[in-house]
Amino acid sequence: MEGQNPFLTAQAQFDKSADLLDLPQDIREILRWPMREFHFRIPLRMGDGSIKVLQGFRVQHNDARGPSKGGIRFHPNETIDTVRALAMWMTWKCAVADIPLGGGKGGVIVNPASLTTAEKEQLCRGWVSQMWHNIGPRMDVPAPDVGTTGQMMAWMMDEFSKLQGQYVPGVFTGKPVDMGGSLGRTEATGFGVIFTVREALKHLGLDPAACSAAIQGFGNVAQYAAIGFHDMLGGKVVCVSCYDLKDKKPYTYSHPDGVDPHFLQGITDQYGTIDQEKATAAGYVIEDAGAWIEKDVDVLIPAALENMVNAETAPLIHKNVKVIAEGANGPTTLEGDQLIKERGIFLIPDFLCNAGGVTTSYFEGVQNDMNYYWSRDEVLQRLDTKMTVAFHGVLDMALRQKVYMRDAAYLVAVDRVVRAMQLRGWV
Amino acid sequence: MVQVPFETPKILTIHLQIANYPVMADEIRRRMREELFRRGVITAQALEEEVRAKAALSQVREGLPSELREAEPAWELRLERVRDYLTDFYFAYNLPIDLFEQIIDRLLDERSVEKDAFDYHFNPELAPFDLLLKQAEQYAAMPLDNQHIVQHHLEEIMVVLIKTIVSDHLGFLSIAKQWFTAEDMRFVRSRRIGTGKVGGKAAGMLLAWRILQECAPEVAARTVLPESYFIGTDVFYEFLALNRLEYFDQKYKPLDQIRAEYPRIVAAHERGHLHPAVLNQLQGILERVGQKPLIVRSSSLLEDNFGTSFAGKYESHFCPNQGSPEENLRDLSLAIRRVYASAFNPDVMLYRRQMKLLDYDERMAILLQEVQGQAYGRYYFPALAGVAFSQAPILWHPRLRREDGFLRMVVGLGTRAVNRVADDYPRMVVLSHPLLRPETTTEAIRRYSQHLIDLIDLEDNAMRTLPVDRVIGADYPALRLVAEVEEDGTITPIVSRAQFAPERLVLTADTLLQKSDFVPTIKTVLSTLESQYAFPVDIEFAITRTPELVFHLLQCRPQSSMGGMSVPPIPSDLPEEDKVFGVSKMVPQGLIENITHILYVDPLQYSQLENASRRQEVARLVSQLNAVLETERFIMLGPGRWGSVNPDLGVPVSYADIYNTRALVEISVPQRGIIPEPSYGTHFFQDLVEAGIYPLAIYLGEGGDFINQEWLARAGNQLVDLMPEAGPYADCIRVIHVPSERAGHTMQIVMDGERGLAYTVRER
Repeated sequence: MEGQNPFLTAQAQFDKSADLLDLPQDIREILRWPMREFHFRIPLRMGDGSIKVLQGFRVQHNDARGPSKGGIRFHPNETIDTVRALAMWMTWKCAVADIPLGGGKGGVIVNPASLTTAEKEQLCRGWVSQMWHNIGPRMDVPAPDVGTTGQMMAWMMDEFSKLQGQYVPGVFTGKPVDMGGSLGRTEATGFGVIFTVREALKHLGLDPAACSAAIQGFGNVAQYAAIGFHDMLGGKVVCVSCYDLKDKKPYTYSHPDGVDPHFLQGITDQYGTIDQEKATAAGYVIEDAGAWIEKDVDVLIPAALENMVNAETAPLIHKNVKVIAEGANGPTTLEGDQLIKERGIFLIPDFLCNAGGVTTSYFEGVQNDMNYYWSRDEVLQRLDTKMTVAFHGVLDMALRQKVYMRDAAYLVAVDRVVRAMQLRGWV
Repeated sequence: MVQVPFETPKILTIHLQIANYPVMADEIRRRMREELFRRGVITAQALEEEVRAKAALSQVREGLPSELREAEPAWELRLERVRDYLTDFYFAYNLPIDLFEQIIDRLLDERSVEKDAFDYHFNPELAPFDLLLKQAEQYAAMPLDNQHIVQHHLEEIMVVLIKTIVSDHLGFLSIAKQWFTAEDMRFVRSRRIGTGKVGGKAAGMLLAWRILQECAPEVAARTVLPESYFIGTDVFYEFLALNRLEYFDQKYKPLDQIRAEYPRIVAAHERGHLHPAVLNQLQGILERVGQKPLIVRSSSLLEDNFGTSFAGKYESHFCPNQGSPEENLRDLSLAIRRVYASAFNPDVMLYRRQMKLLDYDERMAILLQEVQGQAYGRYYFPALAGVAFSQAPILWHPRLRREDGFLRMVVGLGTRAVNRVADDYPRMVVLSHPLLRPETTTEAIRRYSQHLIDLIDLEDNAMRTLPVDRVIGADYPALRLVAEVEEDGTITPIVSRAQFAPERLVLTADTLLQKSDFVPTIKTVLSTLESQYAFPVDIEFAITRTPELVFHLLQCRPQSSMGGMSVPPIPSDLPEEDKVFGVSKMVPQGLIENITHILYVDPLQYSQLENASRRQEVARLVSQLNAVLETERFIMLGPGRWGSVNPDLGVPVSYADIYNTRALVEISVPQRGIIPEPSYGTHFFQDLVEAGIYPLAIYLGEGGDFINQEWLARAGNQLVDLMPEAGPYADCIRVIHVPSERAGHTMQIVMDGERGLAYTVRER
């Protein structure tokens, strides 16, 4: 994927779905491009008094199903085509999760590490002052993404509310819980992964309690996926993996009796590195980074980085693996995908599998709107319902159209957006 | 004259003589045969049989197995040579050599005057067909400058040619002669089996195509005609003679007898057999057609008459044509015999009697066409087929323009659109507003749509009627043009494969009507043909998608009304007291005769009923009367919108409450200055159309609309006699027995498309 224009890739992916759905040309023309794009300059007064002018974007790919939804990225290598691609991807993700939101994405070309806290706040407020006419709970609801945080969302929300002259918490999601955020958001993505895994096992007629999983990664998603698999499904987590900041290399941590995710969470630092000594002391075996993929398990959950299931690693997948749940975004390359398809392993594609995050963002907006906040359990309960329904929507499509799950997810998503456009009379 | 050695046998003399005229030889022998036939030496048929027998023998002699017929050109050449030889033989042994020499002399004379090519020296009405054809071709090939000199000759020859081979109905001739060329006649003859006329229906398609080529070339270029063959009328008579069926002289028998004998006639036709020469030619056609399905259609001489319609009266039969060559020939022959039998159909006889056409010598020609469609899996059918009228025969809203035309069409074979079928509905389209329909709710649209498809099952070699969801799959090429899906109470076009769900399909054809060039195309076709026919026309058409849309023109004829009725003129000299009511808005074309009962719901009384439940009770009583009067011919006449759910607007009946009525008449009574809009039966419009029930509306005080209140008020009410328990409603519901009011009279309603009049008339 390196060097390839991500927007062209996204369009190609869409074209493939459009071909499968045999969409007419006029409808494709609407969906192949964002409906609206904003390019703007943000003058930023730096700590030393100088002015730095930064380039900002907001892309609203499609809002047929509801207000645009998608993160704001502060990244030095940001390009408009990355933002376009991710905005389109959000359209499909919201649609597949069946939440009433469209797709958007925004960004600023900046390395946040180069800014002081005050400068970051200024940048956030600057972004809002450029965009405030075109965002809002009924128009476009941004959220944190690469390089942005909950704190930043709170600043942005504050700026927007000031400009509006009223408190509007629902304009941004991913806010801190104390400032209009939703409970359960931390666990949402990882648990969402597990809800889909549970449904997949049910579909395959497997007893989750008798199943084992190998998880790659031990960040936010992987941690709660491991906890969920262990606590909620009663299955055995054979291993997790993490990047060791000290050694500057990743390892796989396994335990002969299965790992205890709560214990591991307790010995993991804020950067996601597991304490090797404590782990070894507790009987954990530290293996090569790639060991996770070769484990004799029923379920593989790549929940770390992109492109980890590829031409080299995919052939190593154990013959007993029945389900691959893509907790991470884009963990599988085209070649890896081909091998999974050939081997008939049941795949839960990323934008379905990890849609728990965006679903909880949606819940946050809902709670902001009604100004009433659910308990953590209530949020997770609703998340379970949403994820389960979304999973079966995709499964139905796969069975009905006899297509691979990843294709089915795209078909469901595109079809829902098309249907909304039809009902609204756009096409 | 060439010298021939003395004492040569006569046959050799003739042979050697003819050898001297290599170009004239064919014509000489043709005239020799004419002499043979004329002088009764041998009949044309007997000669032809002998030719075939001898040809078959010669085939064996030349080392070919007799059962294997040679390819078309070789076999034709063989026949021709044997025919020539037999001609010489019969002539030599039966007729004087002088006569032979006279033939040659006369021919040489004619040729010398032929140099004066502008004139002919024969009476076209008596001249042989070939001669006329050749002459017409000569005229047509003349330089344009000279054409006007021979135009009158050409026209006369064309008239004779058309009369001889197509149809002699004057209305048809007057149009056909303007368009047909000698080439067309040659084509018709080349596709004709046997002799005799082929009928106007067979030629209607060719005629329409000629007109389109000339007047709408861009449409003609995109129009496809089915490969067609014709069986001349003489074959019908020959069949009757061959099978000794002439004794079925049905037409002057009483109708009951005609009805009683019909099954026997059909059976006799099914048992009978076609002449071997005809079978031989049919076999040739089947070889040429290959495995394409065929349709055998009647093309009777009466069917060409302007103003009468035999639409759907004679039979058509499909031949799927998927069996062995022997099976296919057997099926084709049976289908032809069945169409022949339909000439004796009691309904046809009745219609001819009514239309005073009984004395005409009705002969049945046959049109044999390749079925237009495409294979989809094991099935074969067109994406759409149906019938289009240049004048809309029915309307349900004043916005609609009659003169823009009208369609009845279905997915699959057009049989379901041409004929009325119970409980299933073709798509009706008024071309002025293709997307307007009488139904407004999703539920009604779905209900009044097509649910069954007629098609040819290629695997079973049979015609079938199957549910839509069993036939149409997501991969059906024309899916999105003809079908939409219902989802959550809305019907939307299919734009993505994921939307396909067989059980939710609704065949609306809206996408085709809205987004393709179909509507403009068919409007052009209809308006062009109507203006050139100088008469409203109806056409049968089909559409396939390959993947471009292809328009197939199957037939064109002067327009028949929907019920196949001919409408007499509205009488202008009626005494006022004979008139019952008159209507002038959106009046269809039709005739309802012998009406004995009028079920009249009095608008004033109805409006004065104290509450809705009393009005519901009226609806219930109407429903019961509908059942009680089942065997009678009656109409319903009442206030406002029949079938409205709101009892204040009209009697809240459903179709099940009124289906025996012949007409549903709405009286629009101005209320507090507001004139309620009549419904024209839109609550169940398709049901009315399919059942042939006429919706009419009387706008009191407008356009000459009236109702004879006095007569209705004076007439006796039979309600209580029919239904004693309805007594309390006798003021509101009146059942008038027309013959009791005027002895020997019934009521009839004449509707001419502009106006309609109901009046009492002496019973016939």
